Amino acid sequence: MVLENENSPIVQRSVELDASVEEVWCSITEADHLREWFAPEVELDVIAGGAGHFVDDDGVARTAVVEDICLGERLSFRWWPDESGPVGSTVVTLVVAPRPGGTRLFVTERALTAVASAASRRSWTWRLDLLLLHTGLFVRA
Amino acid sequence: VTAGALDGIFAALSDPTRRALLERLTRGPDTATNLVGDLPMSRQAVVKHLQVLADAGLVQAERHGREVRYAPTPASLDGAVDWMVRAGAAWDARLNRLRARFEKQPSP
Repeated sequence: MVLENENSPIVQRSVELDASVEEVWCSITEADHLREWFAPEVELDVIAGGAGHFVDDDGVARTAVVEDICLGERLSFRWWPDESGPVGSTVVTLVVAPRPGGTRLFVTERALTAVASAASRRSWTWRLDLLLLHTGLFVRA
Repeated sequence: VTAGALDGIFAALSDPTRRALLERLTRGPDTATNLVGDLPMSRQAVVKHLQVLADAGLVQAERHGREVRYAPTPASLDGAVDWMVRAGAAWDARLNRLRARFEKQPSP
């Protein structure tokens, strides 16, 4: 595994949209628009340091803080599940770029060191469980 | 984990049956025959799904005498991969909804 601290886990996606940069920018910054695709419940104050709150389809609630914004181009926020608190935070960056006949939206979500180390601690727990399972000394509840 | 390996993991986990199988195996290695008892499908179908999970490096087959037991590989349970798989799936769903939103509008 090469997913250790300095090489933090990352999710990257991009999508080509049949829409103008302005339309896509509205989709990623206005709560009314975000509710239609991002999450059923959205509050977001789109200014640097602005607060946000999202509730996903599966009921997971997240709190967010806008880290960086460049109007019409880039929005970056840090968010974390309310359940885990800021220690579980990841940083989402959305970049909007014009393309012939449309717009491309780039998404990056990066887990921070704290998450990565929490994750590797968890993985050691799993490995230990598995080891014990293999040796027949442990039965998971 | 290389990008290619991650693609394989995502592809393998895109199927709810395979996710269920992997989840089941995290409770302990088991044989295809025993797994069939838990699922509404043929043994052949279960073996096929297990093969996809094995090709992605998520489970491994271990021979114990006459039976083959499938066990999740420790690496597949790494928290980072788990996070990437779940966060990636969430973004796929969101971006599909976003794309659909603009597709619905008639072009001007």
